[in-house]
Amino acid sequence: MAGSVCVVTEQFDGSFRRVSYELLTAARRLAEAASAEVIAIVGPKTVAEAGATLGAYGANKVVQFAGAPESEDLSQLCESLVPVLQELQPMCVLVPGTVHGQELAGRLAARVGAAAVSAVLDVSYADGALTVLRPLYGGKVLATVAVRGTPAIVTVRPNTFGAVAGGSGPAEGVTFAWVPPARAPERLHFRKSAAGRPELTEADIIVSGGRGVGSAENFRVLEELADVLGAAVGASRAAVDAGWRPQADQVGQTGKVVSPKLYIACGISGSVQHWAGISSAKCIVGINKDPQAPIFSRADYGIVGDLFEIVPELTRQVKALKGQG
Amino acid sequence: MNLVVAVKQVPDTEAAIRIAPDRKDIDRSALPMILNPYDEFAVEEALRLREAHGGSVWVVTVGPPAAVDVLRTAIAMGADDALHIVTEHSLDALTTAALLAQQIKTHGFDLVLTGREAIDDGYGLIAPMLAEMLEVPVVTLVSSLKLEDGSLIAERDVEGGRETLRCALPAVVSAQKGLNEPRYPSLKGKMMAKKKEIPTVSADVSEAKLEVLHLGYPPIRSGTKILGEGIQAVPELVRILRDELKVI
Ligand SMILES: Cc1cc2nc3c(=O)[nH]c(=O)nc-3n(C[C@H](O)[C@H](O)[C@H](O)COP(=O)(O)OP(=O)(O)OC[C@H]3O[C@@H](n4cnc5c(N)ncnc54)[C@H](O)[C@@H]3O)c2cc1C
Repeated sequence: MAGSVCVVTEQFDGSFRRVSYELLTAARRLAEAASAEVIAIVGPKTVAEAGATLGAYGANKVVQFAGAPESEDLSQLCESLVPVLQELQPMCVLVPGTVHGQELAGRLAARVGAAAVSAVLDVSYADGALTVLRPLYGGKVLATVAVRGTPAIVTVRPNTFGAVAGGSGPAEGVTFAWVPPARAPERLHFRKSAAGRPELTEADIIVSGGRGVGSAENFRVLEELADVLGAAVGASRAAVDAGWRPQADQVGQTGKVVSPKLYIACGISGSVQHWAGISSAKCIVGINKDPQAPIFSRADYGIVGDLFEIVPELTRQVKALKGQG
Repeated sequence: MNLVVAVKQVPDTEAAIRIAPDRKDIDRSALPMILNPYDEFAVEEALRLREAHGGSVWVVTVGPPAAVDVLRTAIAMGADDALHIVTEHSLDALTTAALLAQQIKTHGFDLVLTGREAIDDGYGLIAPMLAEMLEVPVVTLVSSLKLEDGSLIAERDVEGGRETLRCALPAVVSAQKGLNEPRYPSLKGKMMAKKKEIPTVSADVSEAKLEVLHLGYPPIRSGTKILGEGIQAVPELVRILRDELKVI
């Protein structure tokens, strides 16, 4: 018995983020290989039905904190987690690679003197050792890395693993005392993104536009396609720097790394820096009027032509297929 | 204001990366190197804070002897002084953060700035680790920053929205694109940087917690299938989306 694998779950707007279930799915696999149990950490905000919900994804135990605040901000959790890790001595802790999760992982690793790795694509356990697969140099190289010592703190980007239910029943609840965060910044304000479209990093489909889109108004054409596909809208750096889209939409080396099932790049040349953000997408479609554009030597599918003809036609046909046209 | 910026030298984003024969590292010969792009935002922000509030900007890096170049770049941009913590090994985030924290503690600081992540190893963990080691608050991925009555007010995009946070100084922040537009070094700055005496200390590194077992290239996609030209190609794309990808 190698002990346990801990998963830090994250909530948003009153429900668990899908990445929580993805991490439990990965943890279950690790736990099987290591004959360990899976422990889900809920927090800071407690959840009444957590044992059932997280048990369905494979948690054997669910840790909650008595006296925790209503906040869903994971970076508040560092101090409360230290005694949990001391008592449970897990072999590893999986943390969502979200902004708050990543901050928590770094602080926690420093606090307990643990090895930390981020943005892993895979985790495995064999012969008493934890190894991870992670991209280096903007995805140009993949490294297989052994992580020494326990606990290993590992962050995983949303959408990296699938979320597959498969628990053996409700998880047992365990309560720890909440330890108020030391030195936490005070949140003055939170402006929620407009509802309707999925988060770029969590989206299954992304419709993305580049310099070829030409203006902020023209992005409407991509938004219409995104809306029929239930997709997020992304942008190249050129489109962001031109002020057509907010910085939060930028995909690439200095933007977000995304891993959707489908990425449709419209009027994007496909530079190495853009590619660094999309290389883990399962399928990439390029729409570009220049047959020599680099996107056509990297994507899975390409259509050569004017995006202002192709994208509206695609929207129309998808709508028709869905019976919305 | 005692401003400290932690920076790193990384391969140019355009550079082709070749794996060395032992498959444990990359071939570093003749690799063009640059100041980590996110660190440029951190240096620029420190210079602007100094311009607005007075004080000095001290830049520090952990890296091989050649990494002194990025310190010279920062000085050419306008930083006052630098320190090079010399190591021949590539280190894990915790070890790097510990080396930086030790020197930053000795130097003293009101605000430590660093890039959101180094684009070579992509850890994104140094800022929160540094903050814990220095026992101060941290705000990562800052895309707007101002100082008010000894506190910093920062904005950042998080999943689901945008936060405005306040914390007391001293603190650590990590810089995100959007924070500012980094300046180019002036000719005068470059001349000064060339002559600048940059002190070094050698890194005292204990056993690494991470061991690279091997490196490989990502699987190559099987080549782009061009579905056709113009709207004639759309039905085939729709078929793929429906039958193969099952997204509609
Ligand atoms: C350090 C560094 C970091 C960077 N980080 C990023 C990053 O995070 N993300 C990023 O995207 N870039 C990044 N870049 C910039 C990158 O190098 C490219 O400049 C950028 O990706 C180009 O954006 P684009 O493809 O939209 O524009 P362009 O390269 O100008 O391409 C526009 C494309 O649109 C096509 N087009 C024009 N009109 C139409 C039309 N009507 N229909 C169809 N196609 C049309 C053109 O044929 C062309 O291929 C970075 C660069 C550096 C140096």
